[in-house]
Amino acid sequence: MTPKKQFRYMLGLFAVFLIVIPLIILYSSGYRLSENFKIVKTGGIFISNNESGASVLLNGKLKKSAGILDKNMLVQNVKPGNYTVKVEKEGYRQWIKYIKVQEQLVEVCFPLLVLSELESEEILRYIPAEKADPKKKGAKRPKPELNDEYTDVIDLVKKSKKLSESIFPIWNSREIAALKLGPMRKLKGKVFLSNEKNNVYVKWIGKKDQLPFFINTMSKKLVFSPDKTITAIDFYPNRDDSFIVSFDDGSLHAVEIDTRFGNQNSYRIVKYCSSFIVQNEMLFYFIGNKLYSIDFSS
Amino acid sequence: MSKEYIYENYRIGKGDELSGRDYLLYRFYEILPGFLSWLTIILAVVCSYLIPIYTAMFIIAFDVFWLLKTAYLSLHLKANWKRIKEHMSVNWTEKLVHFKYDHIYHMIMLPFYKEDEKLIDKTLKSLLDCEYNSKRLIVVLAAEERAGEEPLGIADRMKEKYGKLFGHFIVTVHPDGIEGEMAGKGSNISYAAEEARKLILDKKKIAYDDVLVSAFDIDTVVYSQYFSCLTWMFLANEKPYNTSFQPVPVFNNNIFEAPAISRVVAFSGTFWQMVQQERQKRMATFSSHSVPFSTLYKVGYWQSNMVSEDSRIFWNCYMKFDGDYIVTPMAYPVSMDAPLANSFWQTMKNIYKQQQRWAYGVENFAYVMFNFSKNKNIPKWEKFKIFAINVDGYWSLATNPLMIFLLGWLPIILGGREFNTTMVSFSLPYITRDIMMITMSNLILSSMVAVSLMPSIPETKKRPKKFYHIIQWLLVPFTITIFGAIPALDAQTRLMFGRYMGFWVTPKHRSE
Repeated sequence: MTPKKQFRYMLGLFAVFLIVIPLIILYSSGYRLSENFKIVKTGGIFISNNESGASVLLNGKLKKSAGILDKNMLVQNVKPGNYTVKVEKEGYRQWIKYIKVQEQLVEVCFPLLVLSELESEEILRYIPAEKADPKKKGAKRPKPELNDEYTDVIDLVKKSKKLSESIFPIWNSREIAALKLGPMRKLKGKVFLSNEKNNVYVKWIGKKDQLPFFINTMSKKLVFSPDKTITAIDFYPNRDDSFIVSFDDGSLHAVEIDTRFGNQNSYRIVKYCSSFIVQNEMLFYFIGNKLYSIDFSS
Repeated sequence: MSKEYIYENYRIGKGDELSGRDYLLYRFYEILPGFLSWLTIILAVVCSYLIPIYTAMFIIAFDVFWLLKTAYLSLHLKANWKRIKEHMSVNWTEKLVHFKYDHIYHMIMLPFYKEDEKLIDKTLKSLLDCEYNSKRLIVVLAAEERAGEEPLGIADRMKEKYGKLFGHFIVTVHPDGIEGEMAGKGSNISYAAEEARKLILDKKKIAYDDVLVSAFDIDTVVYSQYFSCLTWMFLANEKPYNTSFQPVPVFNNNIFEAPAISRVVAFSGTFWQMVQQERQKRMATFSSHSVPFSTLYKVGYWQSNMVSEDSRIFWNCYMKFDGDYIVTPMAYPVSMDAPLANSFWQTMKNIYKQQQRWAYGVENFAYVMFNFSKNKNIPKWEKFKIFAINVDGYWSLATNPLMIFLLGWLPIILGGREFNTTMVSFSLPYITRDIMMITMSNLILSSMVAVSLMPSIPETKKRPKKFYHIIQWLLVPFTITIFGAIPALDAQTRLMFGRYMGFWVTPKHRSE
């Protein structure tokens, strides 16, 4: 390649660089060209879903649909202002939020998408006779064999009661011990939930610079104040930004912690139960002696 | 009048050979490349924490710069590819009829350590297969005493088999433990060249000006027109004694046996040399190269007290001729071995070590800068240009892949809550991803060039699918980070702390 040609290429690419850089930096900072060719500042909304393939609607207009594998969506080019954001997915309850979009900023949302029809499965206390171990069969009428899955959940409930009743905290951390965890005081990661006089509060116990989007203060924040009496609370399976609450009428509700912009999504997930417990992605609840489970992993 | 340049400054290997102010100056230049690379990495971390918005904007600008730089280099690659194809189709022997060239001899330096006999045999056979009068070839098979008896036996058998077929054939044995020398290729071929001078050139009264020395590796296999092409370029050159000749090293000898990572790393090296061939002013000799014997004799052969003698010989000559020295790009290939071992992990280790040794070429920076400070005959502007080119080269090699593929995410990780709510923070991964996708499209050209440079598949081999030779280029982000930036940073850090490296011989391995 001749030096002259080299110089020409270099000059050309340098010119491209000089032109492209301001444009791309302005674009990445939220500047856009309006319909009447004026430069305007825009903001965005970032939707972080646990489910893939959801759609986002802004003021009723479809703005973006995620692919089969996409869980996150960045809605750009949004003029500053107030919007009704809806996240929809077939088979799921609609999630609605009123959001204020500010210029050059992005509002982050973690929609709580709950299946319209949750499938619960009964966990039997005893293994049905035909499934019981044949070796244990005696000549007499076989003794019913306890179902391990059932006893595991019972153990879990006992363990959780013991923890809350224990005089001596077993926690290694003094800070956590001071939280006095129990049926009305729950901790997940650094998010602490407590029910005080039928009001649910949230508090971030981590570092200030790691504050999550759904808690925008370091002080204790009231996030739920229902009319009905709360009987227990726990975190939503596999999430720290939502919780499950049981009321004195026996119903279980899923409620999101995020109270920004005034709207808080909550859904009834179980019509009636006497008590419940959450373990990882599983929700277990009792109706009398009968135990049921709902798997939230899918 | 400018002060006369001191000859001894040519031969410095490393800082600790000096004392007083010279030592401090040399050490400063040994530290500088590593310091700049580490400073960049540390600044990337600190700035991502303190000023994440500006850092993110810088990263976006840097991504665009990288895209355009890649496009610029691809244009050079394409131009050189065209030139190589053209040079491969030329009949250089026919072209030589316009010159008187019967007086030209080629001295071929073949240093070896413990390599396999078959490999050496193949290299020698390729010399005989050349369309050049083999009686004008002087073969110097340079063995090492420290390698033991077995290699000497191989050398004797090779001499017996090929000795009479070449004009001259000598076997030299580089003595072990010569004071002030580093065991390696440089010390071996320097010793061998001096032996060849005494035993052949002086005895047979061959003029030094009529001898072109090709310093090869033992696995260097030449293409049939190599010596004709080299002779033509030498005779057609305006200043034939003020230039070295650089072929394009293509790592083809065992390409169908090497794993994909080895192939990609090897071809990346070839591509870089191809790009450099189009930027003559940025070139220094690398790996297999040729130099007129008289020039070599004037500078005292290759340096024997450092690792990267292949590039250093160019700088030795550059200093000796007060900057009036250049590399002539031949745009003609020689074939070499890609790193390969008995196991996959050993191959990976060998690739890393080879890349680390090549990256240790950064030791030349201190040498060049130190000699610039001593040599007043080289124009200042020329010195500045070389300084800038070298700093950019070493810095880019050690930091750019890290900045593009790893450090680019730092503002998002360290920027904090406030930054993570800005448009810039959210745009950064999307824009970076899109720019990378466009940049990766340059790899289509790379894969095309690679496929065209590969030899025809031997019948004994299982036919490899072309698809794999194209898809393998997706490994580039991985290879330029793990086998590019990391060994370069490793080499620069060693030099920075004065933990000087020794010469590591890349083991040659070809399956049966």
